[in-house]
Amino acid sequence: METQEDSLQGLRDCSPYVKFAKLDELLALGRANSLWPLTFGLACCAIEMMAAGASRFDLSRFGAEVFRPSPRQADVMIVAGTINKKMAMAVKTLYDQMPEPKWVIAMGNCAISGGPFVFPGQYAVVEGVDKLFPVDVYIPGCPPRPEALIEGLLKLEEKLTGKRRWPIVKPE
Amino acid sequence: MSASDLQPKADLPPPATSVAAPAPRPAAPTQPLPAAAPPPPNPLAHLPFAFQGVDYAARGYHCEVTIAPDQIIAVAESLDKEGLALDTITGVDWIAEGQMEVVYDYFHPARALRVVVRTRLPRDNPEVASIHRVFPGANWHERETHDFFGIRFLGHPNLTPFLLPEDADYHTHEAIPPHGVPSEMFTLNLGPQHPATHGVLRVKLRMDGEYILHAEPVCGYIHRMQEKMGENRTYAQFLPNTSRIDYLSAMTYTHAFVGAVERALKLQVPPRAEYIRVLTSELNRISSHLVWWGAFLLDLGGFTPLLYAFDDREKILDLLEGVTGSRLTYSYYRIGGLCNDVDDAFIKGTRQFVAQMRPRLKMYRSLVTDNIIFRKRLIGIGPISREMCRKYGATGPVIRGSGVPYDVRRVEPYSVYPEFDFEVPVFGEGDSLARYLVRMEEMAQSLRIIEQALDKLPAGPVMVEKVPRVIKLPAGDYCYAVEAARGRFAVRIVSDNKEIPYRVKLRTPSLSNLSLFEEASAGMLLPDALALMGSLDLVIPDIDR
Amino acid sequence: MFDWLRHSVSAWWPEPLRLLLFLVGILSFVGLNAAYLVWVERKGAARFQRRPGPTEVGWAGLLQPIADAAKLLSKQLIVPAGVDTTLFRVAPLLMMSPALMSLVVIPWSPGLAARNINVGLLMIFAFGSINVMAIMLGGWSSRNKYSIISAARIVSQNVAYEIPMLLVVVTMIMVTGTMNLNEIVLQQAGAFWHWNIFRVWVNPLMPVTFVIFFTCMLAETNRAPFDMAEAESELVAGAYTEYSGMGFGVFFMAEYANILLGCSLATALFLGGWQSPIGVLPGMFWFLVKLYFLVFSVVWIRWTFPRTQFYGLLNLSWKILIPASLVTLILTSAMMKLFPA
Repeated sequence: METQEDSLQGLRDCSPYVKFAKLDELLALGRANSLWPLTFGLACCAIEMMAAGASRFDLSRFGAEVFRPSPRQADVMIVAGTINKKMAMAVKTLYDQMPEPKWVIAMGNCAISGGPFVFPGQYAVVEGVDKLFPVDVYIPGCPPRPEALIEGLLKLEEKLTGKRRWPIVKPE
Repeated sequence: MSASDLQPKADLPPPATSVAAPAPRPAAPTQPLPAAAPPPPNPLAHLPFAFQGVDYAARGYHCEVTIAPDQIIAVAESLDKEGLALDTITGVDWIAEGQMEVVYDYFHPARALRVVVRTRLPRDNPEVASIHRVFPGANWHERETHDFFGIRFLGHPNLTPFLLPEDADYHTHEAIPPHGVPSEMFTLNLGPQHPATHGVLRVKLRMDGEYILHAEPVCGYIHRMQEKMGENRTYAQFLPNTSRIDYLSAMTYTHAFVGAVERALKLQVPPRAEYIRVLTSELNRISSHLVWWGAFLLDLGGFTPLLYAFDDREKILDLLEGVTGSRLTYSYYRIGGLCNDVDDAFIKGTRQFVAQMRPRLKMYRSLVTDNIIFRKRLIGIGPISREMCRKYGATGPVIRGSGVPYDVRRVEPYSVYPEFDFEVPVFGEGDSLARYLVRMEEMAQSLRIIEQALDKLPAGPVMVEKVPRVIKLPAGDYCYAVEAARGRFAVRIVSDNKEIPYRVKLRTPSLSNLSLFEEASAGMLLPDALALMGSLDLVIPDIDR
Repeated sequence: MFDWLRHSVSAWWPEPLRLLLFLVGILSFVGLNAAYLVWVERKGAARFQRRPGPTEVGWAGLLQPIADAAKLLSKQLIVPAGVDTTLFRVAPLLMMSPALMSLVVIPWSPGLAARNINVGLLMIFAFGSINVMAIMLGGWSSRNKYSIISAARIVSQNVAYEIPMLLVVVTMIMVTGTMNLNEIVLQQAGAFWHWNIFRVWVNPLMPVTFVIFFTCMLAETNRAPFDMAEAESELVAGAYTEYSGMGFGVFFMAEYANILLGCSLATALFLGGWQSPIGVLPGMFWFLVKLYFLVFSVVWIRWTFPRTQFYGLLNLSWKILIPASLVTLILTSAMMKLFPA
């Protein structure tokens, strides 16, 4: 039997259906749901990135499967793989060519800090992409699983909109 | 004295006969030398150089010689006449002796014959003649050796940094075509970020409209110092590196490394471990070919097969993850066997996978291989002749697509491959379709090997009982070669009886396969050249290491 | 309901207002379609590739195009240094306008055409050639080698495929005797065997003619398997490489607007326009059904076939399609001469 309390409860709880949004929040929502990555796979992590876009894990559920090859049309640069000193200039150029607003996800241990290729006397590896430009999300792993990449993307969306799409599942 | 008019010196010792003893080695520390072993045969006894036979089972090659630096071209020419192909060139820096050694590896595409030619140079002025006129494939190997060791190769056309950045003290001088510059010539830079190059490869194209005049691949953008790390890690610590050289066929690469160490230590790996190694390597080969197939079709404009290929691949990855714990870069093999045994779920799952993969291959054949648009794009495109393969040392599906049945599993059998019944697919046309068909057929043959391995899987331990706690290889050099998905992968370990190798040389197939691109792509249209590059199946970290 | 609207509008309101309503209608039709055809494409691609496609953004991903639009609108518009700024900015607009203008003459339902122009077909093809120029300008003004190669390819491809398309259209004009699209649709009244595609007693090769028209339409709109110009895996993004934000968005939308135009034209010319296949209740509903069926086939073909080489593409046009359309033209004129109906 529905009481007055119940129907009042229904009235108060209309937030899932009606949104009062300022323009910023609307734009942030739009940007978060339509993050177009730049095809920038360097090494092993690139294969896991491709697997994340494939049918089993499917990045396109979040609107992120449109991998654009041109940096001018991409929003997020997923640095998947090791950055070399020879390659560093090219990476920086690509980052500069992306229009604002842009974000960077460092995928894999190599992009975070040089990965397994850091040893005393190393001469070729840049120890982490954040030595070149600012990074928004770090995804550890060697290589990280596609689920980890999706989690990283969700974290980026949370950074943009302030709200998380799905709750974090705590292992029992 | 110029390098081109060399003669073998008149005061050389008489040619070694077949009873020459193998080069003396320091006594192996752990196992006693076999008593009264017959001296190994010397297949090159008829050549006027001091070749000596070597025990293949102990060292991984059949024949070696140490010569003076000014005889390098003469040796190369006589080995060329014998029909050998250039495998790789590398250096070893003997700091204590004040010398640098240049090591040339040759192999024969039709029979089991591996030859090692060494020469020693003074460390403060290391110069030796370049052999690129005899074997054009030496071009890149000599550049890499120059990068790493500073050895100067006299007569090399373009001794510029190969894997190191271009501003490493040398300036590139580009060869202008001798007949003047065509009217519509322009330089196009493909990469290093480009969807078609499957990684960070840069190709400098000089183009006349849509035709390529000259394509020069520039490598080194993902050089991760694997060989240098070999000198800084113990043998067990280097295992994860091996997976990351060519991450798509990681199992086979680890196999080569542990095989080299086991060969040196004369460890007998238990048969169950060998069978599981073959099983997992073949599963890995199928998953690598699936990635190649999807990416190749993406290059040609078909977007959908990539997703189907990845579907199948996910099944393989699930199986391997259940056993090894990792999806892509496995470190499953250990020195002396395996990390852990496989369980029943794996065996059942693999059987199911084989059962459902065969109809999938049939579907791929009818949907893609028989598709007319697709065939028109590949038939006759990018012909590579047998001679070109031999001169550049190309192996794997590249050489098998040009009619040469060279497969390391047959020519230099390793592990338990002789016990399996499988065919080596060979197609003779030498165009991109031939290489494509070789790989598709290889997937079917791998399924056969997997089935046989599952049926014949023996019981027993998966690890040698007594592996030394501290792994030290006896001094000397040891090779081991495997047939990886892309071609022949060989590891050479030079040891000076310490826990850490003195030098680790990785002979990777993609480097030799790509080195013929410059010659093969001259005069082609750009989309055709990209189809050719896709059919070579490159993984760029395999080139740059 | 549309009839009522038409009557009321023409009876009580003056002509400029009618045109304004049509303008708003066409703009919103094209806008909504361009946006939601992206959704159809992504969902279709996903289903062909056995994966869900956009699902998170709104129910079944239906708000995805809105998110894409919001993002593209708020992106920084970069005009790279050294480009020809006027041409660079004008190129996307030049590509969008012909499609919008040509939709003016398409008959949506009985009596519902913005303008009933006697030379409607001619107008559509006149405006259609501006497309080629737009992409060429976009590619040329970008000061990027990839864009220039792509622009050169597009020009040769479009020129090659315009010829069989025009030959086919000339055949249709001979068959129907008029260039007025409304008249053409009216001629196809009755059940579906009256449609032009089945009019084989005048032109025995009519289904072949339809296939040629469809193929040329795919090539003119640069859709796979004829998307050499934007060959993603070879030329990065082709002529669109240097466009960011809404510049790229307009190119994207223009491509879908052109597909809409091409499919509407095919529907009106061959499939009977708004005529119903069972002879009763003609109207806009049938037009939309046929239109979206053709659009779906375009999406389907894209995700199924690989790309041909460039010379294969040109060979297809010059060596196969042009002779075929010439043959249909001659055959049709012969039939019309021998059996005047």
